[in-house]
Amino acid sequence: MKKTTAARIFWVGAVICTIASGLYFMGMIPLAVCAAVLVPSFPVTVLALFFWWMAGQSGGDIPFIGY
Amino acid sequence: MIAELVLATLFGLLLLGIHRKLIARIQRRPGPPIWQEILHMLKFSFKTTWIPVTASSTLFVGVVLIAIGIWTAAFYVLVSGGSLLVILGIYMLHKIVEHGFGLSSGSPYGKYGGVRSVISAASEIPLFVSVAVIAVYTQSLDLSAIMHYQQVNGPLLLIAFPAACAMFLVILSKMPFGPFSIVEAKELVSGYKTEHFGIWRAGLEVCNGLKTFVLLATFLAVFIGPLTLPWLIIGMILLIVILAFSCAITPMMSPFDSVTIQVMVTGIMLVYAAIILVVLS
Repeated sequence: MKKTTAARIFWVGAVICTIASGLYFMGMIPLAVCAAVLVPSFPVTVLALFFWWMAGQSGGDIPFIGY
Repeated sequence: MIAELVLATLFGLLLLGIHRKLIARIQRRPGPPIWQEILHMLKFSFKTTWIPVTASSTLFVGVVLIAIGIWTAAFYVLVSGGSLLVILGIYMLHKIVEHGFGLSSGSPYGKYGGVRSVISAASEIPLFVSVAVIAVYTQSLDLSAIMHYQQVNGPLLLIAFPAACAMFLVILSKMPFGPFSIVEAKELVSGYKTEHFGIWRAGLEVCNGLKTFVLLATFLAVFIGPLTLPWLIIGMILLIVILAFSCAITPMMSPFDSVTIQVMVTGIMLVYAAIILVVLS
């Protein structure tokens, strides 16, 4: 994954999470809707953030040959 | 709500750090600083990451997302005062996730870790009895109703102490370095986590922080009642201190002994539940 792609996914996820939280905070959506948005978007955002930090530095694979 | 979620994750990791530090001090070791688990998460997120060729890549990556996702859902069920059954369902789903971690990697260490995770499902049987006793007393399994019951009648910790002990045992079985932590035994390297390194392990650390927060907060909600934020934090720290002492002074059991003890506890809990049913009916 390219560094720019990971960054885009992170920012999209972060904006979605912030908007959902903001709408709930303002009383425009119930907690269940806020949670329904955050449950799938939070894990993706977290991993995208980590990928953003890491992208472009991945090494090669070492196949497991133990069995 | 995203801020609460992030803070809960970081506080959960801090609790795991306190747990680790206390175990070390009880065993007369200096131990790592209490923020070590937060540093671990950051450290792994900067490490080189790839997917082993022997792994099922979809499951290998997907299981990390699912692990964080299910505990995010549990966090919102807890915050909304939803059903205790949903949180316990997520707790059991976590077993399947652990199994998925182990099986997806293609490593025998991971697979054995996954298999042990299934074996350790015996720890959930006391949980069922504990939940049944709570339902008998409160006539509900909604966290909000359980907390309301305790506002009127006092903490369930005093009313149904054996049920609290059984749930404590369940949480103990999920703590690292505990007597029932057979899924992370050293002979399995890192158990089901062995092949998940770098970003994947960092994601797993996020899941562990959130899981610790949710489990401890659920225990306090179910057996102490509604607490203000400062008391919730104090309660969780006290609970982690008790868990640390339990982990520090007991050796890790063999899988057979672990399951045997948990089945014995289930038997005791069944007798207790039967007595409660007879007395209250």
